Amino acid sequence: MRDALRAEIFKTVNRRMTYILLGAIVALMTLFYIILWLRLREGPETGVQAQVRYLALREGMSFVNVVPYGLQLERFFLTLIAVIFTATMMGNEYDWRTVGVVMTRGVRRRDFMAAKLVTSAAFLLATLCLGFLVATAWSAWFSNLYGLPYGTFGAARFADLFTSLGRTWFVVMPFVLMALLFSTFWRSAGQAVGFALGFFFLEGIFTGLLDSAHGFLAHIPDALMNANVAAVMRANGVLSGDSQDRGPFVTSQGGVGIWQGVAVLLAYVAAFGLMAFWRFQRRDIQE
Amino acid sequence: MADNIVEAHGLRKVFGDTVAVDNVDLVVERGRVYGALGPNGSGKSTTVRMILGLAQPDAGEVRLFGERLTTDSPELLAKVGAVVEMPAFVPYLCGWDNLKLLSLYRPGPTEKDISRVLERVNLADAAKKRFKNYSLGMKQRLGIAAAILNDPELIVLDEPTNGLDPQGTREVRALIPELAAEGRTIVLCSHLLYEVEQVCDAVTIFQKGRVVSQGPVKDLIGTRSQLEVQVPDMAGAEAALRRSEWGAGVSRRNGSLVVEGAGDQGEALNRYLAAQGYYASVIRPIHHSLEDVFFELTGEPGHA
Repeated sequence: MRDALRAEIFKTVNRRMTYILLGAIVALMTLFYIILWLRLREGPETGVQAQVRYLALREGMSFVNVVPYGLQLERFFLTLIAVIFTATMMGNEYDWRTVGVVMTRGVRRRDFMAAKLVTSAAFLLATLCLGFLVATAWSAWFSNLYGLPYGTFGAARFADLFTSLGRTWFVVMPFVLMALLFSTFWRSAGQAVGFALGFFFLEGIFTGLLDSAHGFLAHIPDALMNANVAAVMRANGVLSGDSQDRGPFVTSQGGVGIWQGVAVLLAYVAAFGLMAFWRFQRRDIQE
Repeated sequence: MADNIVEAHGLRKVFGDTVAVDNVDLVVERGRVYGALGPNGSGKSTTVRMILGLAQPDAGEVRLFGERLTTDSPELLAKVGAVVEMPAFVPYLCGWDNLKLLSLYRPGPTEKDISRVLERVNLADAAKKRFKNYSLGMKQRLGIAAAILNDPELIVLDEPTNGLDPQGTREVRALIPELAAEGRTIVLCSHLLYEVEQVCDAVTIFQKGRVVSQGPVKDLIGTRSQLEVQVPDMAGAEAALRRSEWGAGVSRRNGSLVVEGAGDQGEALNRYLAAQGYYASVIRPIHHSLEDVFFELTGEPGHA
């Protein structure tokens, strides 16, 4: 496993896609904060509701709220990037037919897969931290510009920060494993990216539709990923501030509790992971 | 130490309704250069994949170095170097880095070894060029470099001269006996019958998923040796030969008598004819190539 991991890191470090995706998180976060800043510059529209929304946006962009707001914003982009990274990392092995070369060198199949999973998880963490740094920089600038609160600095806040980073990393992991499964199943990077992102977006749409349904249908989103991701993400930054606006990508405010969210997402992680490993272990390496 | 490096017994592989490999038995002895021949879709590549653990047989088993091969046999495969179909490497890495990557997956080869194998396949000058910018011939040579990087006991080469220029082809053909002389066993899949005849000791001929013939190249060709005989009285000589031990294999072809299975018995046949009063003006062996044998066995045109 250690040898396969070293090889995977060597490939990742020398891969241009790695830096393109890291650049993408910086660019996307920057772009989004600029768009929000342009919105802030316009000032509030007339009407009480509009005023409330404006203040909530301003508060969300302050340094004190960078953990809940910035991470919620980042989570969306992070999922897209992590899916692309993982699906191409595994799928390209089939597209380039390198998987057969590696397997004939006496590398254990489970080590090969585990190295890819660990590398994906590490890349996800690195991208998360980089994106969060961008959010922090912009929030600090906004706070300075508009005189917004920075909050107090202490052990509790840092603990909350690291826990929140961990939660955000955790909620993206099911999508990483889904990308790994799809790329193993379809033996192609393109198809794996397509199916994983398709699932990601379609699930959001279906969750939105089913949220307005009644009876049994209304409970279906509770078993899907989106509602559980939202449940876990709602716990982020509770010590940082108390903004009601947790960012623009909260698609569900359903009644799923945090521990239920953790359990459901863990079940997805386990299911996708086991299926991907089982499939790769048993299947012929066809090119 | 097992004398049979590869043993396959009763191999069968089915894809949907197609039986790709059916009841294939194969034995590759240590130190041999072994050729696998067959037309496209004859099952030789699928057999090679099963030998390398890339595909699981539906029936039968593969033994490498005397031990049963499974999907989890890294120790056995660590002693194998292979290029299956076209050489495949990470396109954005240079040749040197691709070999470095393989040495990370399976530690052992040093940077010195990487330089040495690149030198051996004449790729030292292009070592820092990205794989995606390699010509087909350079890709083939990098594939061979990768196959010999970990000092394997068994080397499996699938069409190793595909895309090489004449000089490169000659170098690879020279390299194969060199590798064999170092005590390695080589399995060579090729559609170039002349190439197989030149470098292989033994050969297996596949057709429609089955082995139609196998054995030492010399034996396969030798069993079909013929003599061409010309005498002034052809009718009399033919009648005399039909009464002899070679009688069953006598025929006429292009104005000559052709005697089957007598390729190395020219002297005895000449003596017999003289004793019968027929004096030959021409007695010469008809040389057959592996191509002739292949054509005869498979009914395929002159390449596999």
